[in-house]
Amino acid sequence: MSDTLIMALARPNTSTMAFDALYRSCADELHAYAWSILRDRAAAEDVTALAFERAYRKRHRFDASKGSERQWLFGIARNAALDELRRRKRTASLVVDPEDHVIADSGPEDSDRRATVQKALAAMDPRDRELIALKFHAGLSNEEIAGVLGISESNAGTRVHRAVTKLREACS
Amino acid sequence: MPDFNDSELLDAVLLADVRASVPPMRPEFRAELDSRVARGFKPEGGLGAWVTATAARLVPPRRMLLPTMGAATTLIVALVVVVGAVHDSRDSDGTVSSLVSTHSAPGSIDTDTAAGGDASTQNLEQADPLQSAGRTASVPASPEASGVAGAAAPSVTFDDGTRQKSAASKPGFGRKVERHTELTLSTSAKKLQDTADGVVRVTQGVGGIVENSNVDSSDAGGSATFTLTIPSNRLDDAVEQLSKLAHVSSMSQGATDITRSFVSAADKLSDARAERKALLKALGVATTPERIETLKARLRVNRSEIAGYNGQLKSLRRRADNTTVNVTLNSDGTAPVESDGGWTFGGAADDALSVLQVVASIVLISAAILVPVGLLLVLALLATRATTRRRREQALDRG
Repeated sequence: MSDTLIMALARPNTSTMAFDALYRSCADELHAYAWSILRDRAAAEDVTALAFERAYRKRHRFDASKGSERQWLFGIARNAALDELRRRKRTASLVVDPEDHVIADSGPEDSDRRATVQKALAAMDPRDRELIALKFHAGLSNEEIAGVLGISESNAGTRVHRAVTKLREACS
Repeated sequence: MPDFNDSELLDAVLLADVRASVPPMRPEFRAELDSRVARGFKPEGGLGAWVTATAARLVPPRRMLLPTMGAATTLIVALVVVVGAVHDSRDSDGTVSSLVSTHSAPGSIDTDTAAGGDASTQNLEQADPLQSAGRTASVPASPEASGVAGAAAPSVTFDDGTRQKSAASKPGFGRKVERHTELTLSTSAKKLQDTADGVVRVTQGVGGIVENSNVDSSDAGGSATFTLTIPSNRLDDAVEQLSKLAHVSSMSQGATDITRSFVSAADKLSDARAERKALLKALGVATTPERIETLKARLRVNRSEIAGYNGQLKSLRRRADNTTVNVTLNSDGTAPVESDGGWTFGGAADDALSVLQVVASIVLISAAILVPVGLLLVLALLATRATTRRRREQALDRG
């Protein structure tokens, strides 16, 4: 996101337009991230909507000096998703019985590979799966991931590297 | 299976596969979300729906209600304490509070030391001058002090916890207590004469006597002293009325037990009368002039003794029945300013100072209460945030 958008978010008079731009650019990624944590379509949609609503209502409180607007938005989404996990108390059943997702078939080889990746992701530790989501779906940098998780940048980089390595090993 | 050894291909393939592992957003949801974003997340359905949604958003979740209500209760209690403290501080400026706080000397009951006995002294704390004035009169003398053997007398408990058997003096002799009161009044120079007149008026009203008075009045101030004799049974009434005339700077009350002196004089009078009867009887049967003359001489002495004892008894009875009240009236500027309706710079300055003092008191008391409460709230907020964060992380771990 450009510096212009960051400044626009910080200004109340143009914040609505800036928020709309942020929504257009992040909606799919945010939904994918929420689904990765919750592994439930309905819950992911609820969290996505809730995260955007909270972000909209708090848009005047965005502080560009504390990180990018994507980092800020995914931080809100993370809290909403974790609150949803706490509230529903159905985490165990979701892990055991995740929602089936039919992968778009682009060929037998791709289908097998993606099914392997899907299984590997489902078997991963939730924290690693979240890191994968933040890296692969949200496209956040290590610095932004550190900001979302409240850890140091080096720690975030190490964790992301370990998670990707685990995924690779699980898929090999 | 794909070849994951080629890192560049691996990243691109893995990225694509990971992204493909997540179901895309449903078009219906996307459309609905677009619509909500376009409306600025205002609910459909007009004002009623907006009010409902806003209320639902503003009402805190149940887990937040308890600490919120606790904090609100704490604040209410703090406000009540502040208001109460301010109210008390205003009351302390009132006449009644001043009356109590300016007592300079406690009252006392002194048993009759003049009688030569081993008199004891009981000091009484005076919380309320009027009440204690009445109480003083009702305190009976101890049998040791009175020197009269008592039988099965009820006891009286003094404020200091000591108990004494009430006097069971000889039949016909009640308690004889001499009381004295010192009262210092302060008033403005303008009202000195009026107050002095009021002292005389009150004294006459209760059937008392102004033994002597001295009023020294001038524009700058003045003073007056009165020595009053007030019937003891009207003393409470008199003190109450005198206290209303002006600001009471100080008051002390005391009582001296003169029962022993009274009983002693009565005994001596009785003996003298008995002796007189015996002398008269002996005179009636005396035959010799010498004997008659001797008896007459003794009768003369006896008569003077009886007169003396009678005088003593009358004096003691008068001391018991009347109370000496010394009233001092000052107008030396220490008296509280009494408004006469006019505006003065000094009065305004005093008022301003009083207002500032009250405001400062309120601020100080409020700070004393609100600062700790605020710190507690901040700590509670930090603890709540830390707990929420920890629980969120725990929820992720369980996921």
